[in-house]
Amino acid sequence: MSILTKTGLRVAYNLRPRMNTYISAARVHSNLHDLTMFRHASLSGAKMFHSYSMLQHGHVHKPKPGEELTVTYISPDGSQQKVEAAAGDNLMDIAQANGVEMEGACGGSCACSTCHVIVDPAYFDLLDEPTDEENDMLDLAFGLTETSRLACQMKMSKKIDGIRVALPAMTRNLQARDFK
Amino acid sequence: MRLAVVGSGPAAFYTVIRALQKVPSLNVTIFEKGFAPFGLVRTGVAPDHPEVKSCQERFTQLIDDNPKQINYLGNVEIGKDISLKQLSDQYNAVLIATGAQGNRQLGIENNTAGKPLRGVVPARNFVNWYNGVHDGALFDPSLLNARKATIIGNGNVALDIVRVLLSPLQRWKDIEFCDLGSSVYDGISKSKIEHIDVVGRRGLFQSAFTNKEFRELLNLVPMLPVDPKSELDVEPITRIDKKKIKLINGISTGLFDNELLKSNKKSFQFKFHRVPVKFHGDERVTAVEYTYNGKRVVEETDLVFTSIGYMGTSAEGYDSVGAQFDVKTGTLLRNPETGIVEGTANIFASGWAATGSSGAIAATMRDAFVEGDLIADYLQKHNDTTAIEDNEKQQESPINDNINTQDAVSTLEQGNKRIITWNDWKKLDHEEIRRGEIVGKSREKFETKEQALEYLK
Ligand SMILES: Cc1cc2nc3c(=O)[nH]c(=O)nc-3n(C[C@H](O)[C@H](O)[C@H](O)COP(=O)(O)OP(=O)(O)OC[C@H]3O[C@@H](n4cnc5c(N)ncnc54)[C@H](O)[C@@H]3O)c2cc1C
Ligand code: FES
Repeated sequence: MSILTKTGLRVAYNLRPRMNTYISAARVHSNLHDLTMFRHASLSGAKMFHSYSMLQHGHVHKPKPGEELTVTYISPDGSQQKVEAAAGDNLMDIAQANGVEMEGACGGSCACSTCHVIVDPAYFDLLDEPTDEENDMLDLAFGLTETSRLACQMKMSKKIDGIRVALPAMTRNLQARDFK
Repeated sequence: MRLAVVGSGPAAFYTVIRALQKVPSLNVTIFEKGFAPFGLVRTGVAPDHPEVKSCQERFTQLIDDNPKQINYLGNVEIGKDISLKQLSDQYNAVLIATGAQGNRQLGIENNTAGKPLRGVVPARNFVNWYNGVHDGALFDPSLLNARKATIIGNGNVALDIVRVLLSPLQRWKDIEFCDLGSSVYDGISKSKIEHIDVVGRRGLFQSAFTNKEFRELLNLVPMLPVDPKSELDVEPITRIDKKKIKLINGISTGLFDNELLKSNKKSFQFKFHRVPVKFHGDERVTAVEYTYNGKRVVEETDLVFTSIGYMGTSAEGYDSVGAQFDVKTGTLLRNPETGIVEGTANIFASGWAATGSSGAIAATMRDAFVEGDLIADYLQKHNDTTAIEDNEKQQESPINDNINTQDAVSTLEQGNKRIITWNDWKKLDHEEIRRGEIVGKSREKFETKEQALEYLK
């Protein structure tokens, strides 16, 4: 398959109406530690973190001059990256296009939960309500908190300009129990 | 620095992605026993979940973008074609990412005569079949002449099976990027199965299926209410269980109500609190006997799928490297600090081989990332001692600095092994996609290794 067809495929996946699908499964509840990272992050001197050169770039638009919105991604180590984004693009594609370490294994189809992020509580209530499907998927995200969302299901808009989201740390403690 | 990787499922790829990030000069050789890569993403994930499979693109790109650094060798089984000991000796580190290659055993009597009955099928055999893995022909599609089927076990794989067998046929035409094989579609369209019981040992909240899968199924296949209703008189505590109970009650409130569903005359039903004790039948299964609320009950069926879990098996060569394997859970035991498999010097493990056969790709990825970090730590620590030796070896082979692979390859060549290289796989991949395009699907898979090798001739 040519790169073009592949890109086409991926775009098509993203354009398709959202389907109901599979999930991962670790049941964790509100984790205060994760929320405090916003404070730590704002203190730590914003070190840029750029090592994901192999990552595919998501499909994002260039913001029109004067209409640039910003998103800040906070890594588990506290370093943060502030990027410009256009309205309408989702926070997973924006992350990938800017080399932020986020997998997005299902290509933004709400089917994998690898784009789970913790939203700064200051912005959480400004977001549109998650769909049932996103909630089902979130139930199973690792390190779920009160302000967890899936990055691929959040579209950038003026309303949430400046939004800050933290990527959960990868740790190994709970094991899932699905796929029996 | 060289890393040998056994297996090419998500655990293998995500571990490599992470290790490479930390040790950019790392040389990786991936050994895969099948003719195709990607493990259960290709052979487990259902054909109507194409989006779940999009991680394959990411894996493909990793190798495409790093042809010098990552060497992929398919149709090579570690433990048979090359020993684990050899890898452990020749590489700085070895990653076992072989998933779970066996089945958890139900451990009940098959029938009174103790003979295996026709129509009692491990879920794995059926899943393989509908995913186009027809090597060894472990599932006979003529068994789908059954009217009623029973699935023992109620995790997501059970719901996959219900969806595959009972969704309206039109759906297979509607799904974009579907890779259901033509012969499989044929088998499914001839299926006579009208109803499936999904049986669990315990109650609703102990069942392993997830709400996402359940919601999807409820939109496709009519569910008969749980009987007696009192089985649902349980107080949900977690947010997940609250939703589960809402979903299961939703059918009576008309929450699920669409044209597709209305036109579907087939049905499924959850049966809880049944512990299977025995299968009935002479040649073919006719019923399952359970203990239910302290009583024995016998429920008729024409076909049984046992879906109680894939399970890791102790592989050839674990002993020779001292690897500790827990037979009860079917997993390799890792040192929690170093990630090294207990009893070994330089062997690591990730994914289902180490965690057991539960957890979606996201969970496998998380496990793999942690292991990738630990491998990187290990390699960096041992870098000083082996760097010189590495350099010498690399000079001997200026084109492919992956000299140890060449050792491994020469072992294989002596045995006349047809290795399926990454380029070979790309040829197969292109051909599958080409054949798929003709019939309007994402791909039409090669169904056996013979077919694949024949094409590569
Ligand atoms: C039926 C089913 C459906 C699923 N559906 C979903 C889903 O929709 N969404 C989701 O997120 N997750 C799903 N999962 C879970 C997901 O597939 C696993 O989390 C994941 O595949 C585990 O990855 P792994 O790499 O550990 O093992 P695997 O994917 O099993 O990969 C192991 C690989 O190692 C190879 N191998 C084994 N032994 C050797 C050897 N000796 N030498 C060389 N190679 C060897 C195998 O051939 C295989 O390619 C499903 C699982 C099953 C069983
Ligand atoms: S990318 Fe898979 S759920 Fe968001």
